[in-house]
Amino acid sequence: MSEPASLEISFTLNGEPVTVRIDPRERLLDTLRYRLGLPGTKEGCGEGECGSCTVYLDGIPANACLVPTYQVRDREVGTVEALDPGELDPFVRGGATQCGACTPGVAMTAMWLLERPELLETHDLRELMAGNLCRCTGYDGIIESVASALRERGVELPEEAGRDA
Amino acid sequence: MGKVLNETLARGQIQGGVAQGVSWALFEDFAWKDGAMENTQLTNYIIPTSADLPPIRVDFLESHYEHGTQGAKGIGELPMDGSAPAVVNAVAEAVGVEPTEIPLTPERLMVLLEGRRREAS
Repeated sequence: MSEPASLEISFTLNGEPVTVRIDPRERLLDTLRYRLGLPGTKEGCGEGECGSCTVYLDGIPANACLVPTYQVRDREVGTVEALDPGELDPFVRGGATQCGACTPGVAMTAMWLLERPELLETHDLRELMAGNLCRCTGYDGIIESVASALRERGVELPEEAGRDA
Repeated sequence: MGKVLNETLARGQIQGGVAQGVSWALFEDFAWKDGAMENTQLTNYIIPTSADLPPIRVDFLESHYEHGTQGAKGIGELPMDGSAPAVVNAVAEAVGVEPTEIPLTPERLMVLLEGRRREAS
């Protein structure tokens, strides 16, 4: 019997260099969770619909379930473990989480968005958050929390009717 | 609804339930085959994104439930019950059909509208 195919790749993970031996067919999601011990990135649907497994790939949100790990060779990967917990206060206060399955992905997208408020000039907040499915909250808690985090950073936003209207 | 103990969670539970009811009214179509659900993926069983739902306004009408802790009741899935009938009744009122089935997909609505047209002619 021949050895199973494998290859060694290096990339930057949350700012640190890593080298890992992988199956060439392996998904980034599984490499992160099962080889590198970072289970914060969740598998939801496994087919790029739900956004639970959102990571940053060279600083852009991507579904880790759709990225073959060999493609991140020499690139930068960021996971939810690298987020600053203090930054998540508005989400705790605003009821942005219930069962928690979507929460890591929602937090990744939200944190990315907080750094790019100019996107709100061309897109609605609900549209920008639409890549992360949530079954529990009905989205009001999420949208209001992101809105309140943006407002705390001095971004002017139209009132969302969800909370106070 | 009894006494609200945690306003953030109670509000979230109601918004989530209302959202699921709206979604049931419009999108969520189980396809059964041989006793099993056939569309078991999020690509073919559609649930709403944040862009598909409006903000959901919640007002609490509290009461004291004598058998519950501090007057509270469980919220559970009750918030889901009202929103699907509300959506379907709104469509019925708007276009003059009587839907008897949810989700009221565009295909089902078209069948109802064609039926109405046949009756009229």
